[in-house]
Amino acid sequence: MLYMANIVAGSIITVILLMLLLKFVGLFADTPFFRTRVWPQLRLHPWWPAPAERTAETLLRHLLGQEQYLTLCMNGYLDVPSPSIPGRIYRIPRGPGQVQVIEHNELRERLCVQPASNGLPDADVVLMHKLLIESDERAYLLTANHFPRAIWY
Amino acid sequence: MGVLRVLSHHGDDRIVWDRSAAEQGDLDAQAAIREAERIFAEQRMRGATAVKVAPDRPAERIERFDPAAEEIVMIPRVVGG
Repeated sequence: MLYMANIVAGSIITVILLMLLLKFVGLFADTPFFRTRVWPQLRLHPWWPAPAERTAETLLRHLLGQEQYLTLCMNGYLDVPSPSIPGRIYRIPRGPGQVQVIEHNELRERLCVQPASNGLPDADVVLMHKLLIESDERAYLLTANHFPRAIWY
Repeated sequence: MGVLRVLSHHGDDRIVWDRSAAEQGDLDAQAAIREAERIFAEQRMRGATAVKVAPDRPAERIERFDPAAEEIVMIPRVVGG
C-alpha cells in the first residue's frame, strides 16, 4: 500500500515538474529572438514536423534571395521601399504585429492587413505583404486599416 | 518551366508546366497549362490576387493567366484587420 502511494506521489511530482519545464521552455520559445532567428532557421530543415511551415519558409527564402532573407532573420522585420512614394518604407514584422509606415526615418502610421481566412504560415504572411505592396500599393493601402500616431495608446 | 503557387495553410500548393513542351504538342504539358489556368481562374473568383514574380524584377500584378510567366503567386483574399 505504501509502495503504491509512493508511486502515485512520484508520478504527480513528475507531471508537475514536466509542466513547469514546458512552461519555462515556452517562455523562451516565444521571445522575439527565438521567433525571428531560431525557429525560421529550424523550419528549413526536412525534419521540421510542420510541413506547411517548412514549405512557406523555403518559398520565402527563394523569393527574397539569400541576402534579403538573412537580413529578415537578423532584424525580425522586412523593409519594403514604397514603389511610388520616395522616402517611404513599409516595415513588415515577422510574426504578429502591424506593418509600420516609415517616411524619412520617422514612423508615420501602422497598417493592419490580414488574410481573410486563418491558417497562413508566418513566412507566407511576410511574403503576402511584400508582394501586395510591390505589385499594387494603392490597393494595399485601400484595403488596410490605418492607425495614425494620434490614436495609438 | 512555369510554376503557379497558391499560398494556403499548406504553405503553398503548386502546379508546374513546361511551356516549350506544350508548344511542341506534348499533351501532358498542355494539360498542365490548362489545369494551372483553371486554378488561376478559380482562385481569382475567390478574391485572390495574382502576382507575377521574376528574379531581380519587382512583383507585377496580373489579371489574366500568363503561361509565359516564370512564376505566379496567388495570394488569398486579404482584409483590413
